Amino acid sequence: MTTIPVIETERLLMRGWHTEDHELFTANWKRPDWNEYIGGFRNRDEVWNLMCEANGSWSLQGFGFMAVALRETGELIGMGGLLRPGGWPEPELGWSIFPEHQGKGYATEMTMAALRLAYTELGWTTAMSLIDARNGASIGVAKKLGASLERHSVPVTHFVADIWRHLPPEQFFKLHGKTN
Amino acid sequence: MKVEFEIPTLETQRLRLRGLAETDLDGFASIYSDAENARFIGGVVSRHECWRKIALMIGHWHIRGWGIFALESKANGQFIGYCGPWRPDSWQHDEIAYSLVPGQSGKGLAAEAARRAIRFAYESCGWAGAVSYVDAGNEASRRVAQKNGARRDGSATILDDETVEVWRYPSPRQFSALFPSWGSA
Repeated sequence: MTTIPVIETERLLMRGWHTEDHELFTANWKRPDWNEYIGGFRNRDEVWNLMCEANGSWSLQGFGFMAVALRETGELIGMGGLLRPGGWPEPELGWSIFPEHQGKGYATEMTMAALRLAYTELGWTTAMSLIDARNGASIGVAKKLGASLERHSVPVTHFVADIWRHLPPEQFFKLHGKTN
Repeated sequence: MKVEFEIPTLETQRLRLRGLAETDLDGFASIYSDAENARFIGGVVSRHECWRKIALMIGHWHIRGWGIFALESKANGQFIGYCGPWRPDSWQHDEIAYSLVPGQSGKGLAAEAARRAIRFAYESCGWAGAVSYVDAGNEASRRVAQKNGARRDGSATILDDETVEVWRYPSPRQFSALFPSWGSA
């Protein structure tokens, strides 16, 4: 039995992917203003495959990338969470917010919750994020979390990204607390 | 709102059908690293991509409620391939998919597994019909479908531009008449 939990924060719900999410993510993956730092365009089939893959990751590793929605309305605002697909150097804390929902602190809110889960429930002792060097918004989020740039231009499967190292558990909890 | 899903374990005379696991990666990758084998299932893919395919196949269970099983030899526990009900987004039919590790073909194992998967789809997933997609030129796969009573039913286009033969299995009622034991043991 595999259970994909729901992570709740003040304004957000992080959850497993549903068939109903497919249309909106397919539409957004066509947008250069959203897809440019997450590997570029993906077609309808590839998006569906990614949704399945993210859910399946929970069976394989006990964590996976999640769809993220507003608690109040259920409206999807992006994706985020913990992932380690084949070829990743180590487990990652990742996120991407649809353009119209950026600038409201959602990325910081969801990544803090996901990192708390990794440190308190999953036994992670460290975590990193792979960030495109041109992605100023995500670098801002990483800095807010307390992360620091560890390595430039690391090749990962078919792309290149910088590795940002997050604070270890004790320091992270001291700065951001243990509860969402 | 949390999501739970469970992949059942089924049996045939020689095989156990169970959920895929990370430990299947070596065997699974051998299916996709063999050029001769892989040319009918989308071409050679890397080990990394195979990990992602396994995750995708497991996640399909969550999205659809059914999906691909790992095939394991009951005699020695070896991973010998995969098989199961399958419907990625661009598929036009509910399909029974199957593929074996190189060296495992020619023993009737794919047909044995597919027969069990068809039964599962008809009895447990509410399917009224089932097909297998066969790449033109994949004689071995066509024979597997024919062994389970499939007849050619035109073609389908999947993944935007790929044309495959559609082989349709007998309806649930016909199938149970054709295979009274359903190949379950």
